[in-house]
Amino acid sequence: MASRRRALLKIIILGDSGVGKTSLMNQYVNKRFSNQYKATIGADFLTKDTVIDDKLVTLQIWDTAGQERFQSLGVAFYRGAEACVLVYDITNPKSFEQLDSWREEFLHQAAPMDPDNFPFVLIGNKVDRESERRVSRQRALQWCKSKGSTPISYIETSAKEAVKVEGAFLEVVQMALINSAQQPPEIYVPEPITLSQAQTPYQSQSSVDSMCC
Amino acid sequence: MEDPAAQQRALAEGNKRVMQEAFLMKRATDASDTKSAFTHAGNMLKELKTTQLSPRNYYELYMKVLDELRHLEDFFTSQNRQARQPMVGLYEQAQACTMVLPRLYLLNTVGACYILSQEAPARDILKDLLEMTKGVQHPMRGLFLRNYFSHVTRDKLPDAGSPYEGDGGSVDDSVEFVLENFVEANKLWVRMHGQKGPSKDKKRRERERKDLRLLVGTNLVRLSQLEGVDGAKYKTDILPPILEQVVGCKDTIAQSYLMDCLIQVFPDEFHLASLEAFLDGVCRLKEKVRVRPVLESLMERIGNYVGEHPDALPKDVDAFRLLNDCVTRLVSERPKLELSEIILMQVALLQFASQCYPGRLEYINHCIGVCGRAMVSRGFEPLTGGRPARRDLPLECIEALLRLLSIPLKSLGLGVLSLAEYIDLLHFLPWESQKQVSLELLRSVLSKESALSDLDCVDRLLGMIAPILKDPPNGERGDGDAAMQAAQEEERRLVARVVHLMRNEDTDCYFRMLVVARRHLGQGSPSQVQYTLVPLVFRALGLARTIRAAEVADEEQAAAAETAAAAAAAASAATAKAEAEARATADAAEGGVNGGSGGGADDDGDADGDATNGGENGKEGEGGSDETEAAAAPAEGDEDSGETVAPAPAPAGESPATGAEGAGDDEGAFPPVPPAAAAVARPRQFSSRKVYQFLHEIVTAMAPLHPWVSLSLFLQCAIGADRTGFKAIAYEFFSQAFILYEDELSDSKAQVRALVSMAGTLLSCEGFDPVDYDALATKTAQYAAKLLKKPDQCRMVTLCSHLFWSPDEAAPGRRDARRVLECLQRSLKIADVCIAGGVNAQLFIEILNHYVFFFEADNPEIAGRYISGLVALIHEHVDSLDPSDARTEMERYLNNTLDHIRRKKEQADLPESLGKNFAWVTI
Ligand SMILES: Nc1nc2c(ncn2[C@@H]2O[C@H](COP(=O)(O)OP(=O)(O)OP(=O)(O)O)[C@@H](O)[C@H]2O)c(=O)[nH]1
Ligand SMILES: [Mg+2]
Repeated sequence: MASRRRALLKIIILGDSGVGKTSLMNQYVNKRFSNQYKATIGADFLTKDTVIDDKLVTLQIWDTAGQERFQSLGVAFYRGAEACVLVYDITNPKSFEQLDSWREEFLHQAAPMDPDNFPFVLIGNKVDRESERRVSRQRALQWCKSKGSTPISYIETSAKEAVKVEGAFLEVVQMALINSAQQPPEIYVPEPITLSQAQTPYQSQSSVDSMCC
Repeated sequence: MEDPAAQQRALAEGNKRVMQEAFLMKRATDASDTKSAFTHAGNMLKELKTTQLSPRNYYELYMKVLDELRHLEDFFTSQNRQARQPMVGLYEQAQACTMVLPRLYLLNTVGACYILSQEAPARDILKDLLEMTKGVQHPMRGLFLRNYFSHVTRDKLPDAGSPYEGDGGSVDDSVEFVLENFVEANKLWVRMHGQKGPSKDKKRRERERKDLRLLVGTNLVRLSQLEGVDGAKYKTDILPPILEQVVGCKDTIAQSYLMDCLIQVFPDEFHLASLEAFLDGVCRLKEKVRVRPVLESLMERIGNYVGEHPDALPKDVDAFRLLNDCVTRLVSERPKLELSEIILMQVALLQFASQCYPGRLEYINHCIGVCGRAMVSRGFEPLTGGRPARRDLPLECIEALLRLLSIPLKSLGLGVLSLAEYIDLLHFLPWESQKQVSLELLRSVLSKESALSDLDCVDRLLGMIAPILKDPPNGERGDGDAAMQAAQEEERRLVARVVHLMRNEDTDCYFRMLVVARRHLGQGSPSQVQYTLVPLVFRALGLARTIRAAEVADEEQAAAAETAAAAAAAASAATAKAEAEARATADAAEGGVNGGSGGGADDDGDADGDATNGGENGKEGEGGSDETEAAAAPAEGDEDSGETVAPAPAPAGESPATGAEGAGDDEGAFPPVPPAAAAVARPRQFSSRKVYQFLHEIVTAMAPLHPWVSLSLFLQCAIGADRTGFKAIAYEFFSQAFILYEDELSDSKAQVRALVSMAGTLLSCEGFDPVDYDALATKTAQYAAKLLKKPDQCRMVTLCSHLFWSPDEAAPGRRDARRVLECLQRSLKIADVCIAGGVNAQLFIEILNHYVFFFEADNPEIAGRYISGLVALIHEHVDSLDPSDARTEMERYLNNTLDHIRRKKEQADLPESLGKNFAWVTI
């Protein structure tokens, strides 16, 4: 089936509350922006099909809650991500200072095979408010250089005015593709099953299982 | 199950089985084998029935399953689109699964595809799914299942603008479904509270229950994402049922969590539109729910928003009143509310008011007042009059109060001083905390750098910072460690800087400010006044200069006007004007001692002592009331003398010609402000002399405690008075310095320093009459001669020789060649005694240098032979010394001096060079 041949890329967006994670995703996937702030609770994804180098890929973009108390079940969904987008708000130095902890937490929980070369992209959002900038481009680039052997890509965007949003995600997707090509695909090799163990739920008699729901 | 290892094992096994079945499921979908796909999907979903896992681990397993179900969704959709399989058939097939939980997951999966296919109205499918979902009543499984429903249908709701709107339903249907899912999820979650189990597990169960809260909250997120919902719909259709559920569930944890979610998840406009209902909900929460953080986060959120978008506040919503009513109601209905919580609610309200209603001082006063009353009602009282507190304020209350008090400081700065309640509340705080607020106030005032030009404001400001100025009511202000000293230094610097911010174009007002400042600063701790009063002295000196300049200008103008008036004396217009002026002056002199001052001013205005005094008295009369108020104002009696600032005794010993003599003709000679100027501008009330009286009083008051500082200040005042032409006053200040020297300075180092200052000051004063100058110079020289240590004596007497040889050749009575020589000879004698007593001969060389100086300066008494003799004497001394560092140094000093003399000798032939005298010097 075509549906299973299509490449699926899982991308996680992380960063402090209010930096614009949801806005970036909405701008990229739905081409919409709202000035209103609505907090994200938990995590959920949107999917988007896109063509890269003549290949059709489905992006599964996970938007997460920046407020820790809204992430009470943990971050199991980090696992299996092909790339991670770290976002900060250029008008909010605190959100920049938190980047390290977001990155470390991600590497810890997602436990990628090669953490040094795991593809991160750093987004400095809200460049439409350049006059209120409190984190210089220089400082961000410096941070990117200091992480791992290959510097992290850095892009400055405005989810509000759709500046470089498309480009930023393209960058992420390309890195994710390289990463997923290098990773051995997670192939499940079934164990031999003895027929006696196999049971099907489609037996006509009612099963005790159903009682406990 | 608590054991983490067992958890991990169970999770790993679950994961493995999910992968196995998912593998088989995907193989079936690849083969387009629907039946087998259902079978394996069902088997995979069976894993979610586990009771072994904690919520977090269950979540992990659930995420795995979710990931696999995505393939199934794709499969169903393509079966429908490509293989033209009707969705209803697939839906029925899913129904056939015998296990409840897997069946419901499958139905939700197919249901989502069904909606996508639009083969049936979205509304009907959603309704059906929700109905069936009720079948799972196990809390954790039910919560996750409902989360799955919410997840797969998130883009399938018949929302405004969605493809399913219309035949598929409306936004109202969407609202209804999501609300229902929310309500049911919350019920499941709340039910977990009462779950039975061993009591030792209770803590863990509570924690696990809290972990699951996310699954309830996401439903609210879903509601907030609906495009078809605006503020109005939120207010009528969404908020009421949510609040009903929140309030009705009667669960403390659920209530605080869901209120938090509501605030965070819905946009600001919605909150503003429905504030009243929301606040009513807050009031109906259980008493155990901490309402303060809820209100705090609401106010913070909309406060920031309105702060950035001032137009966002609806005209018909009085947000402050609503919030205030809510807070009031909470306080009255919840007697158990802690005092600190009450204060913190006011902190939030005040912060809100300063963001949304900047400039509404009544709101600020209100919040502060509420806190004050709350304090009193809880048995706390303000600390006034230095009494210690009967009951200590709890730490968290102190912190809350500090936060409260610092909010208006940020927005209003000095403006807080006009808030009556502000100062009152401040006094509830312990001394140290009051000090903290005072310091913050000072910093805020200084950061704005705006001048302090209002009398009242200065009065209140300095009154408020009493904790910085004064010692704590109980206990000493110890010197403390280095850190504490640094802190005190910083405090003094702040106070000094604030003093320097005082200014006013109107010299009368400015003077009153200084008087008020003096009163406050003077009440400070004795150890502080030497730091806080010093800047005040310098401000006052500046003011005296300013006033004096204006007085001189007035005099010149008056003189010119008089000449003109005399010329046009006959003109009737002039007569009329004079009458008007006379009236104006009489008005100005109202209440004055001397009613004739107006007439006096009409006089020639020349050096008429009586007219002057009369005029001044008249002016002072007007200012009298102010001064009685200001306790520190100089005594009225002083000014009658008119010439000296205070009845000061002359320095002991010989009595030089005092001001009494010189006064009548110079100091008293200033004419009063002429009426011409007075009619135009308000007559000046405080003369420059008045300022000197004030200075005299300040410095005298601090003298007993801080003689050294006071002595220096007296000398500064003397220079000031001299520069402004008040020689008698300058003399008086000198006399005061001398008295201090005699009575208070016993340390010989301090005496030497003082003498250097006195000599320097005296030299720079230019106005003294010769006889007065002579008296002061003689006195200084006598002090020098009486120093305890001979070397000090020697050096100071040498120094004093300069007092008799003014650099200014023309200065009358300032050059007395004889006395210069006497001084030098005297110091030589003293040096001789010193050297005989073992002090090294350096003193001689020093004196030699002075001889050379005066020789060059053409002092006729200093003969070249003295220099030659002295050089010979020094050589003799030096040669007798054993080699040593001291000797080397002395030789170097001597040689430098000799080099100088030699150079002068070489230049002897230059005609205009003073150096020609040196030809006769032999070395
Ligand atoms: N000016 C400007 N505002 C933006 C931009 N991106 C987002 N915002 C605003 O920033 C606020 C927060 O944006 P969100 O996208 O909700 O932030 P988030 O990172 O998802 O926050 P959490 O869900 O709490 O983690 C909203 O009010 C947005 O309108 C931007 O590029 N420029
Ligand atoms: Mg978000």
